[in-house]
Amino acid sequence: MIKINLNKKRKSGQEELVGFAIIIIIVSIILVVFLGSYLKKSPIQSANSYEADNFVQVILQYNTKCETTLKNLTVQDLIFSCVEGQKCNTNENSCVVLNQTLKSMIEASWPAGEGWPYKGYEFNITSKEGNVLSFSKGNITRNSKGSMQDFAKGQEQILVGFTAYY
Amino acid sequence: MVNIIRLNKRAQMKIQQMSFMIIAVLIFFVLVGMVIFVVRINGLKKTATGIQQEDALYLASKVANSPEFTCGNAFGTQKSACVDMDKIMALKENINDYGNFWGISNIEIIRTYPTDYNNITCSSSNYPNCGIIQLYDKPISGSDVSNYVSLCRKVYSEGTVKDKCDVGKILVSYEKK
Repeated sequence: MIKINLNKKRKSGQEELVGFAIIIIIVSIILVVFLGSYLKKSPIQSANSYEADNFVQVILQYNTKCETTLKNLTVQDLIFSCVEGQKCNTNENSCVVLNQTLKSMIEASWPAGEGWPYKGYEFNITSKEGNVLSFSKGNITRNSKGSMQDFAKGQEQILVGFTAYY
Repeated sequence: MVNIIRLNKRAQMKIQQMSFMIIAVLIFFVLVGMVIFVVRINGLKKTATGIQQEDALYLASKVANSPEFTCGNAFGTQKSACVDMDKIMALKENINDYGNFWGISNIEIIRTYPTDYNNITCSSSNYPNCGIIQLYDKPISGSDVSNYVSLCRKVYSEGTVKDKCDVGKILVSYEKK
């Protein structure tokens, strides 16, 4: 009689444990699904920014010190001049002028490093043949804003990319 | 009799246990729901702030592309985000005729590159050897937004007129409603 009672108590205890385990499993599945969907939504932010888009457009329109008889070449003209291996009127290598101009222009407009809102940047120009010019400064962080713009002259196609990290 | 009372008590205990469990599970789900709700609201707030910032940037570009500012075809082909500096200086002289036309408190145009004359405010006597054009002669107040623009002008040198475009920013300040 006492044995039967003990067996009954054990059975009901086991049933409660099974119920508790089922509840824990259901709750943990819900948590895993929620955490999974939440973590999926926070990859590295790399937005094509309106500000960076404008900046790239503006630097392409800048008139450099590289002169021809008609005008001071814009950065856009100078890129093609560099790709074609031409020189400025002053006999300076167009790629050297392009490199100097772009570096000082970006340094003046997007100062980066410790104590600045932007921690670093990357700039590169590529053509069909490969890399024309590229430089970077500072650290790459998870948050960035950038712009990619392409343009062509005849058969030559150029891609300009700028990314600022903050 | 005693057995029946014991059985009744045990059943009541079971019912109580179950109701406590149901309440606990319910509270847990409510808490999880609240966490999800807070996270979603935070996400919405971030999106709203982002949209507001984009709108503000569009305001700067809208002003830069208005006929009183834009280069149009004066510098070869049509350029986007291009401000005609000569036009701006003429506009500055007649700004009182415009009143509150743009609905903003001030507009400032700053040359960021080249860096010569960077901190010199432009007037008709020192233009173009200056770096800041303040359209209204009053301090910048309220919120402000800026965006990059080309600052173009005509330069006369060695008997020819050449185009000269620099890098600059247009800074639009407005009172928040």
